[in-house]
Amino acid sequence: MFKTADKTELNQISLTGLRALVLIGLLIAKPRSFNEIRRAFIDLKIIDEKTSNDILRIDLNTIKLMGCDISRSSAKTDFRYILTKHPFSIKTTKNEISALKKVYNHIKRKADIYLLIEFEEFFRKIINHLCDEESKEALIGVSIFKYYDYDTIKMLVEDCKLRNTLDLTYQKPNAKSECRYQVIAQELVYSNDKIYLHGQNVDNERPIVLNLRRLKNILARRKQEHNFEIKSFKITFLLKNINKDDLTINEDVIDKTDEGYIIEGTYHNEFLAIQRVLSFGARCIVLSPTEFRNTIVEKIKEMRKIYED
Amino acid sequence: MKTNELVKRNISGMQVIKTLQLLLEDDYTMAQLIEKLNANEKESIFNNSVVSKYINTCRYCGIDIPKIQNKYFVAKLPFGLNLSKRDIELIEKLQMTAVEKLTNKPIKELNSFLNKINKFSNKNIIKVEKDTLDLTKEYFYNAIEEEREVLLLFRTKEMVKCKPLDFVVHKGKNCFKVLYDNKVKNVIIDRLVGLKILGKYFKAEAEQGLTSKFKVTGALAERYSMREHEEQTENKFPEYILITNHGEAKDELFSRLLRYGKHCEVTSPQSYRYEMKSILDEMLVNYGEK
Repeated sequence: MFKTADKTELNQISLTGLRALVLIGLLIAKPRSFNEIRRAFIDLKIIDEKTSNDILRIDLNTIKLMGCDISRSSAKTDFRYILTKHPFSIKTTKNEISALKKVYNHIKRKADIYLLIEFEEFFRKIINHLCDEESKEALIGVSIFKYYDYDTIKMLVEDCKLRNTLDLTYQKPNAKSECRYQVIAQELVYSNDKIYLHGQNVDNERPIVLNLRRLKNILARRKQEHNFEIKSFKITFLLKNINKDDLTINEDVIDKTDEGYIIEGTYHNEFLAIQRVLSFGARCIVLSPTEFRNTIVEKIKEMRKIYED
Repeated sequence: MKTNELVKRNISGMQVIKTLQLLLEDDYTMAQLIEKLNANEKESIFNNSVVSKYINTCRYCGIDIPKIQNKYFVAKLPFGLNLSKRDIELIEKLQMTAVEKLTNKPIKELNSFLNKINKFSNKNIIKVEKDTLDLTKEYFYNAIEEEREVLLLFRTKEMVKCKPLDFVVHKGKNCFKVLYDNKVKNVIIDRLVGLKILGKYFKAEAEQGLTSKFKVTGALAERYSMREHEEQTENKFPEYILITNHGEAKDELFSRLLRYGKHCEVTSPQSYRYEMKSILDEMLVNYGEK
């Protein structure tokens, strides 16, 4: 982060100022013990071995007086100084975070999990530079990942890439005890404010969708060891008044007609295909397969019945 | 316990920090810096040579502070927020979505937040000199690729905000081809002292939905998880639960409720209920059923 001091240049600068800035920089990077700070200063040649520890203590006092909040070095902090606030940290207001949350909520409605992970990484970067715990907590509260173990999510992303087989326990909504599944991880999907793992159930070789908030434990993960065909549900439909954000990566335009675009959609299972088609409302007409088209007609009839006043 | 007055401190250490704080607030000339730094002192202790020394101290720490058009800019902070190209794209996505979906007040709040981030991030500003020509070109090309505006800082102290188009050699001189005032112009690079890369801003109308109510039934009632703008106003489980939704944009709300199939019924406002009915009728007509 900092260059080693060259004694011939030091007369053009303020050595105490240099130590103050370096000290803030070192503590922003990570918590450090008194000896680690001293060692870093010696390595950077801004003090030498003979320099008294009092000089460093005065430097610590100086940056505290300039707005740095530094925890006491104690057994609780592993004898390290932790910088919780500094004059170069970002001061935010509740209204600003609330505006950020509003706009993030709009983005997340049409976002996939990968975009939300990018936002999470971006927020985490900012959090390190916020000046107080309240703002940090408010920013954490913006993200959808506040409900999840983020490290598990990141590992599941890798599992999906590698098509790993997961041995996991899961709490079904109505079941009294946890279920155990062996699942080949396929895709993480953010939908309807929740994150789902789409996979193949090894035991019955059928698609499975797991709500990650009900995932209890991943007991083991193994590299791909099942070679059965991954099943998916394919449909074609006509979509009218298409918007640029309408389609997902699993949906391709295969033709254009006067009425709209012909889309081929590939879904993890029939249930998700039904939900997707219904969400388009009257803009969408299922073309094939015929059985699925009939299923949709039946669903619409059931829904319409509710509104018979 | 010691009071602040009794604590031993390094005065020049504090003054270097003050100088840097001021430079992070805005871009100042030396005279402005001296005036601002002395404003809080009982007597004038800051002068040209002292402040120059403090700026050099900051520079020695790796803080890049170019002087362009007599003003000092903090271009890079080793312990600042290092935003990647992707981070900048995310910021722009936030800004664009805000202007599309939010009203003026939250847009203002969001921009205030993003400006603070920008202040502490490593900025895209470069002093244009013979030695930095290649880097300046790289900054300019990046701005074209990322569709950003640029601010050209001229030796004459003039500043021009424009759209970068290309790097060209015109009449034997290196030029930036830019769109300014709806005209394409070639700006000779030798006339510049600095180049600053800017962001994008857009304006649009906000969209807000009404407060609506809907019943959720069946298995969905048990597992329904409330959105942040929602509350459960009635619990008749296992028959149904009643949800009140405050202001979700209508198209998004309808799209979501339709997914729930027969397990969801819009109860109010009457206009939403009627509209939902119309959508379902239209859907049936699509399949030749009505």
